[in-house]
Amino acid sequence: MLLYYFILCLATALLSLWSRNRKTSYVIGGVFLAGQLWAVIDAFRHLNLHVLDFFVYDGLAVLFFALMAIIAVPSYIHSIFYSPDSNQHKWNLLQFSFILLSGCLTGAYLSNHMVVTWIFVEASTLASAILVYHKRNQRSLEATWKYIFVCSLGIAIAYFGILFMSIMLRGIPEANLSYPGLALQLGLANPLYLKLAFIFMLVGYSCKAEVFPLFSIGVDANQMAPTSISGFFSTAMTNMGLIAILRIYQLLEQSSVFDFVKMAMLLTGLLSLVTAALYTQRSHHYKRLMAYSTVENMGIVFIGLGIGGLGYYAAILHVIVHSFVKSAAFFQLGMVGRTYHSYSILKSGSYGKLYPWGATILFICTIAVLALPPSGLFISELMLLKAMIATQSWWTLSITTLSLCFVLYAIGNKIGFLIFNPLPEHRLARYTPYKNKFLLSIQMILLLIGFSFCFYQAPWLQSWITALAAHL
Amino acid sequence: MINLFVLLFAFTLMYLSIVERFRSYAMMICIQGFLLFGISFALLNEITPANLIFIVTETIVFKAIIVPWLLYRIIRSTNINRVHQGSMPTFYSIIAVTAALIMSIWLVYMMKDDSMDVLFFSVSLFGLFAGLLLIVTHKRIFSHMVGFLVLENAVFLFSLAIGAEMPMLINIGILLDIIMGILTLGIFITKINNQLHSLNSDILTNVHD
Repeated sequence: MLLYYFILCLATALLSLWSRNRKTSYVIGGVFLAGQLWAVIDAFRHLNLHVLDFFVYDGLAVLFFALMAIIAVPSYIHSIFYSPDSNQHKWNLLQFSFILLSGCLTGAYLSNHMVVTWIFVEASTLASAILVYHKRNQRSLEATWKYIFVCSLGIAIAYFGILFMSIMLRGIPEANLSYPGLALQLGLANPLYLKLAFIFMLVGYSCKAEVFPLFSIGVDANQMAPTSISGFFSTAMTNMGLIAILRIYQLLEQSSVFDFVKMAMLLTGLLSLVTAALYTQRSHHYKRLMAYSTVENMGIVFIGLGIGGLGYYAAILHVIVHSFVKSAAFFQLGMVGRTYHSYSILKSGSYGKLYPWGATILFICTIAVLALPPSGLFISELMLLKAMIATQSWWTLSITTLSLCFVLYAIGNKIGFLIFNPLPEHRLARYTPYKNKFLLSIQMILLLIGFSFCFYQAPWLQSWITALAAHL
Repeated sequence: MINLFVLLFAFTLMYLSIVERFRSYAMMICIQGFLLFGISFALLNEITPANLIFIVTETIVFKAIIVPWLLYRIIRSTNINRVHQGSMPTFYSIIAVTAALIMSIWLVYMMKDDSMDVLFFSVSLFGLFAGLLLIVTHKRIFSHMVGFLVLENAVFLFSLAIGAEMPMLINIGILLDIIMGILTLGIFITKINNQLHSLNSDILTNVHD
């Protein structure tokens, strides 16, 4: 099935390029999304099956694949509504790169081989660069240049890590760089090389996972990409960076350097959280603000992985809920941008008066993203704090809570400004709200899924997350 | 012979840190391509023929011919021939790059074991630092691009150091990286020059908080 999925991906991407009208494009896009969802169902039915030599349907990969396939649907629908005026060629390119990006993300999630993961991560840069350049203006060109350049640098650095890892295979004729193959040779490896390999890969893939140190490039990409795509970048793409790092993390769990690895994850998470707390204070752009919130949330996931124990469960739950609520928040910001023709905080205000329904959704999105109850993120963060107390990580607890307070203040204050700050009547008259109940209902569904985790977690899902956490 | 090529590669890295003309940059990248070919050719008895064909294509065709040709084209089309005056002065560049070289050798001696060729590893690590230094200390996008290419060459040298058991997949990875480099070079530098009429990194400051 996976082979058919990749063929479908390539075929629909190429057909999108040659499509002559919107209706044909939508049919092609719909076929791809349906095929992708079918591939997810097939992956669920064949859990732990190895396919095409380099891929495996393990629990973690299938979870991330399912999240991506679900988020891709509203992202595509929002793209249709948010790009009604763009010419056919621009739309074709958007759809082409969106489909290719989905294929690359799937390849990276399901890959069972270190180099194959790397190849898909690298290929995803090409696909996403086209999306960042979608507006074709000077700023999007600047963002695209920076994105390609820094991602290429990061990925080259990650490659150094892979090469360090491959040193341990020297002189072993049948050895390969698949994760299980590497796990067999861990006992022979020089611990210093393993540490270096992990650090290089952590730094390199941080450009995709939107964590410290190369997080800024993801923020720029989120700002310049179409808003519907930013929602996809901030969830599916960051999950790809995370899984690329998680695979190494899982591999090194059996080695003597695992304490070092956990410490590196914890430090990365804390630095991401602190950086996000500082940057949210000075940001005057709603999309960047939400992108920094992604840095903060990915930081929390990394802290969970660094703490261990209950932190593993918290990290996985956090990724799931974050994918739903953050995409909803970006999609709603798209409506805000269409209302004010800008994402500048200084030019906004009175959104509650202009479009009460939109403001309500945005308010709920803010509660969800800030992990205030009854957001599902509240549960995962509470679990994380419990894990910190259980392991007596007092410094981590202090830095985390303080940073979260800063983020809460900054985002709450700025979104509050957008909704409640009264604008003079003459300025208010200039803006026509972008009203679309269909899109609002999609955002509401995503939020409801995100909130439902606070009240109820299905037993099968609980046991699944527990099993995944046990394998971390 | 291999060691001589590796040492020459290190000299090109030192030279890159002191030159100010972009033509010299392109020339050094071309020479590095040929040196990498020389190293892989000298390793002939240690690698499979399929790998060799792949490596020769990567080094001669891409690294020594296509990439320098693209660099010369960019220099001609943009008429920008020298590094920016605001870049780090040559004297400090020499100090920084020497420090990078000493640090690379020191690091490699720290982690030395039986499976490690000290010269190969030191020079490839030095290449990584030299590439990053070029990016950090220069103001023109062209220099940043050359820094990236140097870093790519360092990765390639590093992969040759592990060479004997290098699977084809690693070669594919490196080829993909080169394609990324060419894409970045060819499309974006030209586009940036056309749209923004400058190749200084100072102008790339519109996307910020």
